[in-house]
Amino acid sequence: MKKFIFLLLIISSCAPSRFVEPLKKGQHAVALDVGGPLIEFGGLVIPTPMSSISYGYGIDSTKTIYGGIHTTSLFFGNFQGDVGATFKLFNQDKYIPSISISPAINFIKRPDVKGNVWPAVDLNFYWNYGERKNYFYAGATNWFEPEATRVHGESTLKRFIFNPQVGHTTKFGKWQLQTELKFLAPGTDNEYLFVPYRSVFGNDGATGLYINLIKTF
Amino acid sequence: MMRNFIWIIVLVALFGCARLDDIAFVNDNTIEAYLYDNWDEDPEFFMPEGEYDVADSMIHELVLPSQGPNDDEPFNIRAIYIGNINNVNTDSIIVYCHGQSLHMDAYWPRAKLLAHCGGEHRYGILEMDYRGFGLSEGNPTEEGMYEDVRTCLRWLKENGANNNRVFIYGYSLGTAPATEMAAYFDEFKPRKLILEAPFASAENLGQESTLINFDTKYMADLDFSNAEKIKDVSQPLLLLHGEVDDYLKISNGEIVFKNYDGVFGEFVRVPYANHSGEMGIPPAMGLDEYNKTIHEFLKR
Repeated sequence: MKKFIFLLLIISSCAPSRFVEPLKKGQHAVALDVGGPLIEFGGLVIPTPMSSISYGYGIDSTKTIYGGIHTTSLFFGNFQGDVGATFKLFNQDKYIPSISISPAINFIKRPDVKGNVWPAVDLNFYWNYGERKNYFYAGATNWFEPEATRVHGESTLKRFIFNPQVGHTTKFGKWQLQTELKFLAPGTDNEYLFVPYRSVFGNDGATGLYINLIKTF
Repeated sequence: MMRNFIWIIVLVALFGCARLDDIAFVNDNTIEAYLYDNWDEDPEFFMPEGEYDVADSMIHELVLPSQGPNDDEPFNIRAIYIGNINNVNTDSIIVYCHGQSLHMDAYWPRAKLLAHCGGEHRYGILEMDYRGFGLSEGNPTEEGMYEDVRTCLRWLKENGANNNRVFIYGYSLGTAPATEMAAYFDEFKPRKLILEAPFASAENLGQESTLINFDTKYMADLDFSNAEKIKDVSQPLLLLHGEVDDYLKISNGEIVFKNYDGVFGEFVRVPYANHSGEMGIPPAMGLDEYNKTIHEFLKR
């Protein structure tokens, strides 16, 4: 049953941090990202092929609003997406990083299912460097499960899921390439889970790998 | 550029009807015949050579037309009856619903083992390949699988079997039709239910894997809700689950057992047992101990 079951993961852990660094005032951006948690499939360890496209707009140099649509999920007839905003809280001072925070709402709906909403907050520290202002970042995506009970009346497994991450964004003119490594749900034993996750920490959580191509205009 | 993205979204949404229902079935329908002991791929587990053998004369291949209300035409499904086929009307019979893999040859060691439960041919064994498995026609579906097991129970009924001497046993995926029959097949309801390594439901598997309250209906129309259907089972239940099952976590069995409210329930947690293979439940328990556990439950 594990065959292709990894696509269940479409719902969560399906995108990298969006707009770690806010856009410039009045700037638009469109992004396409692919990737997801690493799983064992056919004897290989591969990232799950999730994809989404997103749009962002810079209200000013410290505030960006964005929304994303999860395209892989669309193939299954679901309207899944996320909307949020990135706020820059602190400007970089030499080696002291800039800090941004991104509250967001993740949602999914299909006609025959009541739908779900999951709030999330990303917190990132990032360091710009060089002429192009490329940047490294480190932070965490934090998911919240609003419902206390789940199927069969069981208690919700986790109300809060902490996913630390590291990444890098390279800028090429109006293009940006973001790569991210995310450590999904550390502290969760993956040995007895139905989905064959793989983690750089063995049986601890899962490791996600994402690539995001951004075009600004 | 933005207009192109919007068109892509609209087109994908319009044609977004992909479903993952097939994921439940890892069937193989390319074989030309059942080979039993001569099948040369890895079986469910290896049996000691020369033990638990079944004479060819006791293996009876059946072709049964199976047609449910949603089927336009019947599908010929294949089943085997192990035992004296002339004694179906007087024998005690275990109906064995196998797991998701390949076809009956993969589960032949189990069929042989059960044929020695309580002594050689103490029980007749009826096993079937669901549609799309082995030589059975059609493609596997959840409802089709239920219909195919109903067809086998009807065959027993038509051949004079007494449902008070018929016991249904489901392993892994096969726990779904076994539970469905025990709960709802009033036409010929088996007397007892055995579940080995059951899952609670497709939804529970999704939620345990994603950690969020995820509804599998987003991706598939599969239900397989043993945890809800077991509430309608009143017959005695024996549930076996490996404590280190890394495929269907033992919490699945615990949820199913917690929801059972019938006349007698026994939950055997098997130490060191995994889901299948050489550390599956029968080898982990010891083959004789496994058979003894099954027999004790059936005869009580």
